[in-house]
Amino acid sequence: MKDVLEDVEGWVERGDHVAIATVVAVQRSAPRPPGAKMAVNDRGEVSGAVSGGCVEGAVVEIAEQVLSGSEPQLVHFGIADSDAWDVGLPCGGEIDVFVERYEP
Amino acid sequence: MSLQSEFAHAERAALVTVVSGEHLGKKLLVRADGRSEGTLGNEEMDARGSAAGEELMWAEHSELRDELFVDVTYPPPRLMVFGAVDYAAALCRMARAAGWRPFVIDPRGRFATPERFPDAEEVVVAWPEQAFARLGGIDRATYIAVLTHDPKLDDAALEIAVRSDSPYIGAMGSRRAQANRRERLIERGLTDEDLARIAAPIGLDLGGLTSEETALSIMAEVVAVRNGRHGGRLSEARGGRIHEVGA
Repeated sequence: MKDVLEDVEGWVERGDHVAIATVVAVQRSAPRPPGAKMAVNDRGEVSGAVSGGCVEGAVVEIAEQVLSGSEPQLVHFGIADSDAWDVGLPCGGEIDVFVERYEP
Repeated sequence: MSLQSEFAHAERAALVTVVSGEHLGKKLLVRADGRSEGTLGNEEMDARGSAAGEELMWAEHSELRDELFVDVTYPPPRLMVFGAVDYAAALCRMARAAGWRPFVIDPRGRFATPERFPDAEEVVVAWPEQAFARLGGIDRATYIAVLTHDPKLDDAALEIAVRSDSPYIGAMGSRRAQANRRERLIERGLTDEDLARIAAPIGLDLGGLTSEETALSIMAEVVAVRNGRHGGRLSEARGGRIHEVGA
């Protein structure tokens, strides 16, 4: 977690706006525990991860909404039959991710 | 500095965030000394957040409690090794490899040198009482291994250790040495309850002989205790989780 926050500090120093996504809850088998973080800046750069790569794409989109002014969001990712590869977790777990702005 | 930024720089702290409902996004930072800053929206939530923060920063896992997400940060656990003996050097190596912070303590300056313990965060030449004071006391994330083989030193360290918050106190020695130690410690005023906190003989039953194998057995026990496990073989365990997600 510390290494993500180090990246964030670097981004903030050069004036970027940053959104942080944090895993707040997991059910069954999930790759990253509560507290795992992913940061996204307004240049589109990403650091860290909230899963094993399954839902990061979707989280970036939400982070971008938050960066352009929307409220913090709590998002649930489960196993979605039709788009399991897009926003589901192939491992069979479910995770809740909270996405908010990082205030320097 | 924002609460998020202060949290990012803290050694041990909890950052509580409202993740749903009326006060969405509000934060409360709880510091290691129990003091807090910020507000979650009202006194009831602050009280709840503050109690959860204080509990979980020491339990060392982040958790969602109703609408409050309690995120925690904490330093690597400390392993205080008493006795600047050969086993101690191997134990420091093993602890370091596992991501822990080992310290070596021994008043015998001839043995307690940084050169002999390159993996130790610090080598403290002092009696247990002064050494603990110098290292900031024994908190709930401080594990203790007593390896001196010298009754005076062992007893002095154990006496302080059992009166502390340490979750693990291991002591090396044969079963016969344990029996003698038990008698001495009872004479010094320790109770059966105190003595029950001492893991002796130290380590898991790996049957190892070398310093390295012995160190592995001690480190394995320490990790098992930290995770609330007994340390048996997973292949012989009946179900249950291999590890706790988020622990």
